[in-house]
Amino acid sequence: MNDDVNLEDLIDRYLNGELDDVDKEWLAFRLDSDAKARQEFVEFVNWDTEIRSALNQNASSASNLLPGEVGFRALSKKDGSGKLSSSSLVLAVTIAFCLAIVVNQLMFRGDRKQQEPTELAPRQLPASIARVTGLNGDLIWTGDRGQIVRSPKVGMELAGGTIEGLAPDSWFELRFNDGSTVMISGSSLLTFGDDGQKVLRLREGHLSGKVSPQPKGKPMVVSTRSAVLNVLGTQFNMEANLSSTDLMVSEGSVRFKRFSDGKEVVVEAQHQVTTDHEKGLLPIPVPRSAFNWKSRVDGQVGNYGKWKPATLDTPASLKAIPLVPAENPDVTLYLAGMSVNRSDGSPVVVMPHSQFVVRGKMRSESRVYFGIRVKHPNGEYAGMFRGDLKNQQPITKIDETGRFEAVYQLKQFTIDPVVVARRGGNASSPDGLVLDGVWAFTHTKDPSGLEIFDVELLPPSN
Amino acid sequence: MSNVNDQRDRIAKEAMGYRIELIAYARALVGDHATAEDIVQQAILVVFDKYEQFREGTSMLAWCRGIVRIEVLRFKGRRSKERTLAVCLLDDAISAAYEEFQTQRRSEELDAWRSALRECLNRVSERGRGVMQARFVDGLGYSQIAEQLEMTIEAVRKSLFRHKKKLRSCVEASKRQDL
Repeated sequence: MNDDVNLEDLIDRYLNGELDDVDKEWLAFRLDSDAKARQEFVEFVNWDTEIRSALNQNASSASNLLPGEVGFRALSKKDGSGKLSSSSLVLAVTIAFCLAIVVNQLMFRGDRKQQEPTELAPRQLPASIARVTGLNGDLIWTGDRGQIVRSPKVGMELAGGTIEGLAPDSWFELRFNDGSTVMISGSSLLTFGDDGQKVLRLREGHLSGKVSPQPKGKPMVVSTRSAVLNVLGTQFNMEANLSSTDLMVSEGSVRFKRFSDGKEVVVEAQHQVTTDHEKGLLPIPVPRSAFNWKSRVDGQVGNYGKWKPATLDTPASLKAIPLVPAENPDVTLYLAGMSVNRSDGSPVVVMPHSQFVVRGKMRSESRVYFGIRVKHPNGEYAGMFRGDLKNQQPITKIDETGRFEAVYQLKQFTIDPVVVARRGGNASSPDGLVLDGVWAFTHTKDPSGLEIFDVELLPPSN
Repeated sequence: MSNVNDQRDRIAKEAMGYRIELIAYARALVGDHATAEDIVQQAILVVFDKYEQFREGTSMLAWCRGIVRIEVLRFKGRRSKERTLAVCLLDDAISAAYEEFQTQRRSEELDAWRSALRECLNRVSERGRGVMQARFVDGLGYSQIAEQLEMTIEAVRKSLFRHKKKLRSCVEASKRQDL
């Protein structure tokens, strides 16, 4: 192979995520030192992008003709190119949906008077497909002719769009017109629409759904980067990040397809499945509850903060990052949050008299506030609680290296004031409920340098 | 007020005209098409908010690329992965390559070019389209495409290479015809 072919291969493998750091350095060197290589790189990527765009346009046209067929098709080995069209359609629908939102924002967000209907061009107002039934924390909703709403309100009628939870204590519940509800929590991003068939895309984060029976041939479709779910009427929880999707079904069943190899399975009640297993796609029974848990601070989905790798003398940590609460824009909190997952998928249950231990470091001594979010065993939101309010949290002492260890007894936990007014109520205490997320923050004038090494839930000693 | 809206809409619309170029740039930095599209979607919202910062007479594409670059860095930060030295070097080299070789094209010229590309795509065999669809739209790796289409990995690689080359020749031929 000549140099050109080598370079093309190198670029191709780079875009495919196959280069290690040595090869990346080599590619950087080639680009730095050779104008022809730079030109070839730009042209290569541009061609790929243009081809994708052109193919997508065709796929979008096809999807417009077949709204009811967004779902699974048999993907037999002998099916030729047609076997790929199912995921293409789902992707095309979601991509087209996202693009439509952006185009709407750009074209219609300006002066509303310009948008008044005229006799020549009567404008169809988008019909409401769902209503906001509960929310908390920092959220941004984008949709409905380009509106960008920083703090949506309970009762708002929505015609679709994208909702983004910006903080670990964010959650958002939506009730579709047929009574189906979906809820995202933590740092999550969900796009939703209903044009006779509910189509959702969870880009990342947690989603729980309680879905009423759907019309025949028009299941609710929930897609992520790595999988697509067909839901006919059931209760489920799912979590998605860049590389994987986990699903746990509480009631009914969900058809689950992994994009990477086209394999699909039906996940029955009290079973779970993940795209992460390289070989099989095998639903397994939901494991029994665990009563202890220790956090992972690496790049796991739902974490909020900046991950810092371990050094010789410091463990890896999640550094608190600024958060300006929507309801109090004059305040800047420094907050780190983590979602709760055990590697075996077992739910983590908070027992009476359990305690949380938070370990980390700070630049100076200050109060470390601590909160948790819990859910019912079926995945439904149960409440948010704070471990620092019942008795004034003492200032957390640090040692000479800035490290600290703060303990929060479960009996001290009280309902988080921000959810007291929530419709549908909160559990009165977190006892016996499933831990869903934890967060710690400081409220100091300047950045406190708060870094969390780990958070541990310890069961009652007896 | 109306002038302000006009200016904002004009700039946003012009930026939207470069969406595919911006996706190409973002993809060069993040590797993944879908992520690149999300990043550009976010960047265009930033353009909408920061339109006043665009200096008339300068390159809109270059300005938007700067915004995409920031969004890429934010995205990489959110993934909580430390950028290694190699990644930093490569990101810088890629950005330099784009500044040098990604040029603004007139919209009519682009429209004609894209129309020719779509036309040429229609001439690709069904199997060839299947391979390209799997690679570019579904984002599958070579081994996954090979398994799905019962081909060898090398055959998939060669098929893509061959079809891309054919497409290029086809588009260039139709451009020559237009002249």
